[in-house]
Amino acid sequence: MDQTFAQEELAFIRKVMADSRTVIYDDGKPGIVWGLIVALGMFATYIDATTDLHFNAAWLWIGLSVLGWAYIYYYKAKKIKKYRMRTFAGKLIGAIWGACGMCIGLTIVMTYVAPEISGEWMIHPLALTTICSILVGMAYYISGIVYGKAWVRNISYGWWIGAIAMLFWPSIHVLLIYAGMLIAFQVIPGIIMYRESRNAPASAEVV
Amino acid sequence: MKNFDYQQIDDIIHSRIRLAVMAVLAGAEEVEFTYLRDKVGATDGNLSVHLKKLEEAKYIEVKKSFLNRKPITHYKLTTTGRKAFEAYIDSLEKLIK
Repeated sequence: MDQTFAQEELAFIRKVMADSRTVIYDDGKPGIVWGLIVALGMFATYIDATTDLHFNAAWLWIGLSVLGWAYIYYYKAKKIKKYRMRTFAGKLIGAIWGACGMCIGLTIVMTYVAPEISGEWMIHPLALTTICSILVGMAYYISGIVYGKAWVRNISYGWWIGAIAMLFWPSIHVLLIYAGMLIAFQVIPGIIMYRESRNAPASAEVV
Repeated sequence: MKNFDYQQIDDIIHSRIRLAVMAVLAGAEEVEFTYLRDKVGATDGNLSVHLKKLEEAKYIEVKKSFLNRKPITHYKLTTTGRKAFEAYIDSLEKLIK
């Protein structure tokens, strides 16, 4: 075995490893489903707050959350059964969005539990949409880098600009803005990802 | 090139197909047989023989399951395999230096 052979061998190893490491697949379905669920919840809460059509928004949110998590459970269970390759990048994406979901969930719980404990609002409910936008923007930014897709990373700027806009316009209308942002920056990108995944069957079933 | 001992080269890894398998598995967590076959560009039979060799050397781990009554086989690099692969790369790098 000579030096040239060793160099070729190393180049071959590097190429194969790099190809395997960067393989990542996202069909956008969880983003579409969660986006629609939360947008529906936001719209319903807005209707509840601004019109005479009153209903129990808390129960609606509990129902929608259960529906969303049930879908994620079903989606993951189905995907795990038929995966062809499990990559570190896939695990990283799952961890980013899982952590993002957990942060949002805890912030929401803290917002409504704090007044029961201390008698004061620690986080104003209208600031929730801003906080959620910042967190979702962060998740899109990291995801875009892991996917190697600039357009996914750029979605984060939409979320962050929206967060700043809502911060400067603290009114009940932020619920509508947030619902619109979910459609524009989550559901539509999810549809684009879904279309891309249908055109790339070779990379399918990678988690 | 100084003090290079050709006996340091791991014969089990030192084959194009087995090396490709090890490289794919080193970059991924778990890989299914057909994916590995497509990636490596080998036939089912040929790949099976090479995988068996790696399995016997305890370089890879096999996980068998069923999906819609069809058997599915996933492969994963073991700690021994990862160390052997790293040692193989080290020996190649030494050869270049």
